[in-house]
Amino acid sequence: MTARGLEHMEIGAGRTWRRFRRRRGGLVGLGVVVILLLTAFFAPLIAGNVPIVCRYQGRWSAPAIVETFRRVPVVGQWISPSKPFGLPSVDAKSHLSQEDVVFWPLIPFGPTETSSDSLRPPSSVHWFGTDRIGRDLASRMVHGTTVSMTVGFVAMGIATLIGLSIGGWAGYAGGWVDALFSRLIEVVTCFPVLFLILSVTVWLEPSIVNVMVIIGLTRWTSIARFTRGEFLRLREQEFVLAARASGAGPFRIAVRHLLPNAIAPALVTITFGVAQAILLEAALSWLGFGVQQPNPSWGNILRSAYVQLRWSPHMVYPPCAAIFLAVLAYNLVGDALRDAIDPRTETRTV
Amino acid sequence: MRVMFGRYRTFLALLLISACCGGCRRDLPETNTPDEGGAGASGNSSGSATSGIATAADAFVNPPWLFERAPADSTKVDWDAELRLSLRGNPNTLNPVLMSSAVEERLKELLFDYPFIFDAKFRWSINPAMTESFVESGDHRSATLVMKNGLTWHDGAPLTAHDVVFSWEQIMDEDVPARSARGGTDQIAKCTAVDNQTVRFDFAEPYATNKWGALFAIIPRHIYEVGKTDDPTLARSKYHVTHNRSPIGNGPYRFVSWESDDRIVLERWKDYPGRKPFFAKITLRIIPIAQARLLAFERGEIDEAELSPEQFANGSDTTSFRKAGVKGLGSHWRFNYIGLSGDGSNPFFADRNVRRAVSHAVNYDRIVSQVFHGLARRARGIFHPDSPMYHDGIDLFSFDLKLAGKLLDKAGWAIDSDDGWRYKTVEVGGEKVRTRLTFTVNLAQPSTTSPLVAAIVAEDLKKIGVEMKSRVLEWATFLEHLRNREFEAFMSAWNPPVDPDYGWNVWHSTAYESQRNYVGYADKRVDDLFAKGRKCFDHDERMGYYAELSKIIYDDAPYVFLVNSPILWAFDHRLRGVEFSPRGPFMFEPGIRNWWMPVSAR
Repeated sequence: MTARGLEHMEIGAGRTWRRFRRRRGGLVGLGVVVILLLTAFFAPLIAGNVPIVCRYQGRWSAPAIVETFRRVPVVGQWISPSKPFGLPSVDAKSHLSQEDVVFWPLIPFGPTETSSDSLRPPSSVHWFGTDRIGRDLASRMVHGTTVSMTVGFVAMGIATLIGLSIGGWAGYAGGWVDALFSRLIEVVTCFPVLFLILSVTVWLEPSIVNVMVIIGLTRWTSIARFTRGEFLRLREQEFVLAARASGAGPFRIAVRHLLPNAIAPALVTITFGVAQAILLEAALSWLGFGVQQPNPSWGNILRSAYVQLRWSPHMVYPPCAAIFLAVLAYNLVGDALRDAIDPRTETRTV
Repeated sequence: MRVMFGRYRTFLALLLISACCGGCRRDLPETNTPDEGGAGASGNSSGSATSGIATAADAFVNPPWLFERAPADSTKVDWDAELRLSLRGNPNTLNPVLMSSAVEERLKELLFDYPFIFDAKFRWSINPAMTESFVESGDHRSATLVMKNGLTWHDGAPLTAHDVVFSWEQIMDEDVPARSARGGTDQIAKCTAVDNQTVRFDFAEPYATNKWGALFAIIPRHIYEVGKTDDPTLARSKYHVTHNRSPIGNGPYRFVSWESDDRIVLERWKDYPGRKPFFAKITLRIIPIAQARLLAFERGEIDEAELSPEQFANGSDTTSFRKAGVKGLGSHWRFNYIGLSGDGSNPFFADRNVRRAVSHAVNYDRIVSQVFHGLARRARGIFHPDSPMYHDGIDLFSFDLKLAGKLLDKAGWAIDSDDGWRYKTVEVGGEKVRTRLTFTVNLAQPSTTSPLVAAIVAEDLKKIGVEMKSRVLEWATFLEHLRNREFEAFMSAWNPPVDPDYGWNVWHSTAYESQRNYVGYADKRVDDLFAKGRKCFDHDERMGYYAELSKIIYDDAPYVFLVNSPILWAFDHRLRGVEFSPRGPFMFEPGIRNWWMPVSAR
């Protein structure tokens, strides 16, 4: 049964993908999401004041590449920075001369690197211009992408874990367990997330980790509701009865048989949730309670820009466009995914 | 594709509308903050007020007519004019005994008069409208105030010595939340009414600052005595709340109405015993957001607005601004700083070398030019260079990362060749722990300049292997962290005190527990000099003590002294008689009481 269940899931996934591909909006959205994810991951190779590869004093090194992998959670802490230019106290630009072989990132400015070029309009040197203390906006936008994508995915990862667990448990167990979790879902749905986060920042340090955790702890309710509904529908199906008859325990039935069949509607919610998490992080950083200066995020770049709106409007467009694009892309993907999963849209061609 | 856009048309339209609205919104974020340029008052007219500050040769900055005094020919004054001021927020109260914020102080100077005043140069004197005489005893332990006969409150009730004594009793009453008013007033040990016009002050110690202690808020006894039994706080009962929102004062203007979050209206008090007030009506518009204030000024809805450095430098260079008014620029004695907690609660800043290293790692010129648009000047310690307490021998910290690094090496914070950060083995709870030199600086939420300053400082500290993180806190929370001493560093600003002795509660070692010595600074020499200054009655000698202690404090670097932010203001074309004190255009005598509008500008 297990093998057949998974086989069904693979067939279902293949069918969903085929139908997803027919929705051009979804494909465009998916393309943008992939570009944003790649930008987020490879940010040090795209923008930074650390060389991608260089030969200094006869030795080759790849500080930006090393830095890229050092940023990977868990694994990164075991990787040492490339010396000397991966160290925070060493300025590569002042050490490397024209005689050295250097491959700089496309945007050769660090996201926190200040300069005397304040409020420069977009140019061939500074693609999006500079801010009030001479930081390159393009570089900050690229590194801000990492923040937005990380918040979106980690926050919704936490929300998914909680939503699937509680929704699945409520749906499978039914009875008082279902009643209890349903009330809990209703209560948490009522939480005003933004104000909750603002309140929490009074006690906890306003960091990206705290923001992700709070978003995750409050945005799981719609995932739980969908999962509960699907579990309620599926738990009386024949394949579940067969699994139960063959001696499978409740946990095994829920995880191996019900969850693969119930996850599709939740996926749509998760996709929309990522967009909402990105918006939330931007709003928080805009208020000054999200990602803290000098670290860049789209929200805090927008805040800096907003103050200068009347006399340096060039700073406003990049973060606005990025937030708009990311939210639109995730919504397009979610919309297309919903259509692809829903069998009632089988005959539709777009 | 067409269908796709059809389906998303509504969504796209909504997003675009919301994006456009974001760009067009008038209620832009607040930029003026406790540590930002602008809120003080000082100086006099264009000349000396701007000394040391880079100014553009611009006819729209400090035009001479802005500072013109009212003419002797009263027919040239528009006595029917209305003055429209801006307020940064709602006052909590209009009871002067309970007032504690700058917003409330703005109302106090219009609604209330006191027996004593101080001018734009912070010179203390008696108020000729109220006071007949003030005589201190030869031993400086007591003084006698004789008030003028026939003084009244706005409601016609007589204002007597008993009101003064009642007010002092309320300020000293622990049940009354008069923390701000109590500072200095607590030097008076006893206050008694000799007769209806005479008050005797007995001082706890023969201090040079005693006369400042007698400059306290006066409230009408006949109003507040009635509700005192039911509500000893003067702040909670319905009776007191009502009177605190619609005060009976004795100043040149009387209260008319207060619409929360909108406006407070005052009118000329016809029976004012001093010079006739120049305006028939004063409306104070409550506009918390700096950009909104600027727009209101440009639309002609208010006659003055405080400007942030970027507004002064860029935002006011528009046709609409120049049609509305001119810019005022003055030298402010306030200083912005980064406070480093040296009370031993962190392993870094108890060490003088570390504090000095941080001071050497700050690019002051960049902060002045980029964050303050060249309008500020570098702070030179706790006293402004134009003040009589300034020490000429202060040797400013240079921006020298190599020297900063050496000082950190000397303090035992060595760079780890593996990761580039500085570490030291310190003792924590009896155990030796290898600790990284990383600290967090608290910033107050509404500020737009402090995150930029923090970004500049953090970038330079990184170059010497020190990590500085920043943490934005809402203003009340920021203050709570300060009061609880829960911080490693913080960025803020101090307004200039009218007397240098007020620095006692910031720098004296005894002020750590319950006053405003947040960083836990303690130096016996400074303590002794404060004590000497308090007891010295020779002006020059006294100023010498404060100058000496200011140099010691600067060299010890408990603060990173950043800049003296300037006074930046917008004034309507019709306004005349403006004057700056070291705090800005308000909160001194005559200050706003000298503002007037000519008939010709009606």
